[in-house]
Amino acid sequence: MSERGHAWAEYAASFALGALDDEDRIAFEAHMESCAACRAEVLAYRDVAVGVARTTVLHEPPAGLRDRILAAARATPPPALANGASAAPGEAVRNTSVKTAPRTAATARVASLPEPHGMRPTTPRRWLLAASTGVALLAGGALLSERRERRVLEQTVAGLTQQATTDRARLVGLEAALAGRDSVLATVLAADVVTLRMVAQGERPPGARVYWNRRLGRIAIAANDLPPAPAGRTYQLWGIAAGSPVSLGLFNTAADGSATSSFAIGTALDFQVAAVTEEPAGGSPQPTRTPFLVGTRATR
Amino acid sequence: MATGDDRALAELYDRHGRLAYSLAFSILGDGAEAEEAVADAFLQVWNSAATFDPQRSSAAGWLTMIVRTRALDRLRSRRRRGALVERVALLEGVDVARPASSEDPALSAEQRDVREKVAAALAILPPPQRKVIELAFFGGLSHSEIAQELGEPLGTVKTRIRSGMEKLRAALAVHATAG
Repeated sequence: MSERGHAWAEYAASFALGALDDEDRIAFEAHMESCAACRAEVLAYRDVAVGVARTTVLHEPPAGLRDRILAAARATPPPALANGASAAPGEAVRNTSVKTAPRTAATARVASLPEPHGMRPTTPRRWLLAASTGVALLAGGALLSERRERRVLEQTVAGLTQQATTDRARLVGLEAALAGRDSVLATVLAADVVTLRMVAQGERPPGARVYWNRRLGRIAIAANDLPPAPAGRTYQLWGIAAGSPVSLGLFNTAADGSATSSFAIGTALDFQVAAVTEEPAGGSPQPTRTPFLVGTRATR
Repeated sequence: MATGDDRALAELYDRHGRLAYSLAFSILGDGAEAEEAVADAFLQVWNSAATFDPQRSSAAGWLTMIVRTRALDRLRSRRRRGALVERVALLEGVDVARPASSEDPALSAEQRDVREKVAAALAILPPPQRKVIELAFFGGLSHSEIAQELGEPLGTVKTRIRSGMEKLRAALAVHATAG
């Protein structure tokens, strides 16, 4: 420990006592970032300061204080792990600095310094530790770190459970999407499928094609260049037989204006014309707007 | 909350509660405020206990510094410089235990031992050096505040603190080796 000749060495004792004025303290904290010798000096002087605290005249604490503290502790479970660094010993050194100022990396490092090796046999810390940190307290520390372990495990399990739930929901979604594809494919890939090519009414660009598999009682619609329906609205596909519209299903397009949907309509239904209207979400029993896509069944 | 956790805190209090309260009392000079400061400190320990590493730091030292900080917080919020000056006067000889007065049956043998050694070391310091250390530690005063309180040059205050702390450190190291 090159105490002599080090211009900063005179700050260590005052820092440990919390006596540095703000300007000096800030400068010294910055210096400690890169000076292991000064960090060790501060630790040693901190033990001296703790020793000074021991010399106070003894006063008996109020009888209810112990129960009050324990009750308050039970009511406020400690928060989960702080990130990484052992904050507790840092607290101790930080507290030697009486001015309230943001804790610097230097003070944090001082705090987490291990016992200086060469000083171990003679440093006051040794007997202070031996005198004031008994076996029972170390056992208490072990209990506390068991709690810490348990919290980590609980957090891990909670995280995995949540992940599993998310994965399961995603799987269900994928299965539904896949079933939809299968259904579209089954509807479309049949020799006797009926096709209705739907064209836009007026100048609107969208187009769509309806595939009707009469044997399966299913239809599929593939639309393109159709902007998604506004919020609270949906697109509804109608089959029109003898002038009377029957709802075939609801669909909406993706952001790119495309949609591929399939609906079961039963094998009894027959229609000549298909039409698409924009309806309130949930669909309507009868069209409330003029169809903007209309297609007539192709003759085969 | 497992009962073991409560037990650890209870043990911490049983071992160090009396010294913690006495430290807070010597800083604040008021029982009710000392009680609040000690309760604050123990709850702070409780709330950060999960991160405390007994391998690296003495729990007693950690607790001591937290108690001091909480007590000084209260002292400052009280903003009673007049009271502080009274404390300064008291520090002259009343609050700091002398070796003869440290025989207290409620303390463990080790705690008595520590008190005797530190008090003995403090007692052999020149009074001006002891006073500036006590003003800094128990009064929470900085160099310039101490200089103002005492009407002494700043450089004198700095030198006294440093000399006094060096002597205490040396004395404690000698005692530790001898003991």
